[in-house]
Amino acid sequence: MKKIALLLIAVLALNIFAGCTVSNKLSSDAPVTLNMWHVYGSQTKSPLNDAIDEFNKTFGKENGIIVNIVSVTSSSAIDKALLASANNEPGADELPDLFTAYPRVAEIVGKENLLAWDEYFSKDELSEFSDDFISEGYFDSKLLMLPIAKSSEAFYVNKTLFDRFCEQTGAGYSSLSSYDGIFKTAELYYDTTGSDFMQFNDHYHYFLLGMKAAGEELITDGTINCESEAFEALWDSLARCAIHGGICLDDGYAATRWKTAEIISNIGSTADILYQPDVVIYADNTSEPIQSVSLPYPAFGNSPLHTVYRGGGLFAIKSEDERKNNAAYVFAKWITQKENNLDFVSQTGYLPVKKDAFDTLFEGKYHVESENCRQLYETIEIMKENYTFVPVPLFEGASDVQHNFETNIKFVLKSARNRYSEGVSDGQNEKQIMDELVSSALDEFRVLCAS
Amino acid sequence: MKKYVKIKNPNSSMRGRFAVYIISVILIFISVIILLFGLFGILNPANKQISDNLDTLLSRHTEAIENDTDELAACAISLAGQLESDLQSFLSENNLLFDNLENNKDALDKLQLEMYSTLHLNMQVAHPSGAFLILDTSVSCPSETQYYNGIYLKYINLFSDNTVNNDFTIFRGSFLTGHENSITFHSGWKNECRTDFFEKSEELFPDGVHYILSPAVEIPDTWETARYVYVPIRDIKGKIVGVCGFEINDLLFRLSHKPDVSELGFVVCGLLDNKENISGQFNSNRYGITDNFSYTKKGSLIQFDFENESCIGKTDSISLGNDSFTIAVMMPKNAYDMLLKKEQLKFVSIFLIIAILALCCSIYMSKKYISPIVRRIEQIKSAQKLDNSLKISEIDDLFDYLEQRDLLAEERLRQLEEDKHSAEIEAEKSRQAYEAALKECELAQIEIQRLSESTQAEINADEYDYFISNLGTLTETERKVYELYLDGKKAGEISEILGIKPNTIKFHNKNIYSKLGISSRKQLLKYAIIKQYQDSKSNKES
Repeated sequence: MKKIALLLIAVLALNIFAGCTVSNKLSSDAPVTLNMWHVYGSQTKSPLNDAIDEFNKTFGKENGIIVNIVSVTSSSAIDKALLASANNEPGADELPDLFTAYPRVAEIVGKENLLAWDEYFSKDELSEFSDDFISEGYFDSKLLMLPIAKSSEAFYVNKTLFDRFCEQTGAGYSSLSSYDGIFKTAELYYDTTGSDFMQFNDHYHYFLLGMKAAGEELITDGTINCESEAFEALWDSLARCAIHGGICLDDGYAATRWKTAEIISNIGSTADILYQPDVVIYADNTSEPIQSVSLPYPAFGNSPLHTVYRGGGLFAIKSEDERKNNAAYVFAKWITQKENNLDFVSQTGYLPVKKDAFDTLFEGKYHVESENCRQLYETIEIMKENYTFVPVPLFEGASDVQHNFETNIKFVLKSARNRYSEGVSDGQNEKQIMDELVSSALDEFRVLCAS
Repeated sequence: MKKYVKIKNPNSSMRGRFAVYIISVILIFISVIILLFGLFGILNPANKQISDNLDTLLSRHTEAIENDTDELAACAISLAGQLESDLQSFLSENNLLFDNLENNKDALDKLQLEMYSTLHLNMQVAHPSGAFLILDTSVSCPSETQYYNGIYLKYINLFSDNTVNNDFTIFRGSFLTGHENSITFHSGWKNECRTDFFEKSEELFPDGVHYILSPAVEIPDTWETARYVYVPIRDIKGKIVGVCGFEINDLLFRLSHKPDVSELGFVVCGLLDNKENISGQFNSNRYGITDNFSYTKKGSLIQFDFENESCIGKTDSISLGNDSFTIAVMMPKNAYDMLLKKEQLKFVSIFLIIAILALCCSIYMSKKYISPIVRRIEQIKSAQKLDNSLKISEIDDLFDYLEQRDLLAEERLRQLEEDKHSAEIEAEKSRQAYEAALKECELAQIEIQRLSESTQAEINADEYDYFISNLGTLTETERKVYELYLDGKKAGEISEILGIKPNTIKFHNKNIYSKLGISSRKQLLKYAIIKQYQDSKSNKES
């Protein structure tokens, strides 16, 4: 009788105080909210937001996880915000629980503050990921960046306006397969319309791939290898066009200038397809519907074909609340599952991150709804068969090196362009001044890189 | 009642009675405690507690939303004043009227550049998700689609509280405004906005209406939903020529009014529009909230039915600007049901625990105090050697007392037996006396018989027969006199008994003698005794 009574009391007491205990298990009754910043989408459309909405309504709801999108922005904005948060700058918000960024942020946030995904994903689960993609995420043998979508680079052309230009000048698409042809077309376009033809989103990638094509490396021992002849040759081609006019050297993304028809082509991420407008608006408030086309990454002469694969991955801030860490893992697993991953990436021009999903997409077993995206994936498939995909090198200080490279190259070329314009206006010899400026700009650039 | 009856039952065991009494006392104690808890609100019904907590959250959110909206409205009013001043200055400096701005691209571009810094500065001060100024004019009039000219800026990173260094984009505005100020262009950027984007009318701002808070609407060319706090921009004559104000998008609403994680679990707040199709802004995207959902009253609470989930909560009405809105706080219905069950279970469990404790306590008390008594009694009953460990002074005193009583009873019994013996001796003596008396009586009877028989032999038979046969002729009075004579009464006594004069007695004597043929009272008595003897003898024989 006494034992039964004691047992009963114990069971009842457990029952009463069960609510007071802290559990690491996820529960739909006490959901965990994960704040997230990401780069997958524009201000107009974000398929990742749609995917997360779906997650919150279904799997997340069942497992007590709410992913709260706090920001959809650019990778540079995320870098800046993470730096502000990490440094506790006034006005900076707390670090988000999840964010997508390039590997460079690991240094900003601190590797010790990041969740190691390999402590949550099993070896079998990790083996499903594309080896190239996942290898990028390891820092000191810890998987801190989980790939959820990767992109490559392609050449986008405003087909409507370029066709009109071709009719006018006799230019053609055949010249757009190599940089030589593109730079010539750009100069012709500039001479014809007075507007720039194209914009590089990352000049750094142009040199990275050009050097690869020449059998050299852009980055040696963590510094820019700008003294080599291969670099000089790449500089010469680019600088002549940029100084002459034809390549936009202003800051900002190409998408805005597409919208106002300030440029009609750009080298950029395959994910830029999401930003490609289908209407251009002219300064007088008139607008015109346009069609765009994506072409394979341009060749460097007859050298072997290369393109980058790029895109960051998913980082999670390590939490003292183990439920948050578990929730991050559950969400990461869900978003990288074949079907969910394909639904998300196929609307954005990204590549899926698992081998199985990759094969499904390129074997035509998955229906891509958007016509623009379908055409882009055809382009990527061509590159997949003929190109070597090169990762953007990761080394200590890579973020600063890349940022400075972009700033410096735009600065010196813009300055040279202004001087060229002034010189030509003053009646100086175009060829002579061009040669001088190309050379002096390179010298300036080398000095800036060395500083 | 049964227990009560059992208690009254004199046959129930001491242990049983004791346990029932203890349990009763403890239950009464529990009832008093529960009553006191109830009085002080510690043991309120679970749904009342939930309702009270929801009321508190509702009140807090209502106050916060009202304050935030008022602050933005105050900033918008200040912005409008500054923009009106900018507009007047620009029109004066350029010798233009407002109507001259239509289709005047250069003038509108310049005006935007003038007004941009005012708008941007006020956006930094107010900390909305976006700021705008819309003028009732366009660079493309007339056209198929009507446009308003103006500037609409949006923050990129709302999560930062630092509005000064926070990046923003130009969502609407001239290309020149964006370029000259090095502003990133929003991916949904357009240089003017459609006239159906904002309503403008004198009627929207009657006297006394300082600002308007719009319903939550989808922002064209984005995936966002937002409300707008806006006020009119007036020209020098007081005519409304545009509106300006601030945007509160869903994200800002979520960041400003974070969901409450309290004892109620995850509680979501929403600012709902009082429209036919209920929609609004919520501070969490948890419930798969759709534009159309319904809510119904359930007692003091409200049930909200979303596409994928039902919630229980409370609502309050609030007036913001010129319209009324509904503020709602809600928690998932399954969490509410579970909380309710948990509270009820907790209450029942506490009660059960106390009841079990009471039971255990009574068992313990019984074992501690009743069992030794019972065992002591058993020992005493079985005449075992008494165990000193079981010694209970009260019981020993009781048994001493009983022993004393036994001794007294034995003494009394012995005395009674002695009394009985004495009584028996007395009885024997009495019996012997009785028998002697009876013997004497028999001898007397025999003597009487002998005397009767001798007397009978002496009397005249005829006279006696005459006497017997005429007894029946006596009157009633004569009979009474005769009977009294037989009883041994004398003439004087008979006179007193019958209340008649002595002479009358004499008269009756004379008649009796005459009728019975006798001459004296002695003869009368003699014949009468013989008659009695003969009557008794014949009776015995029959």
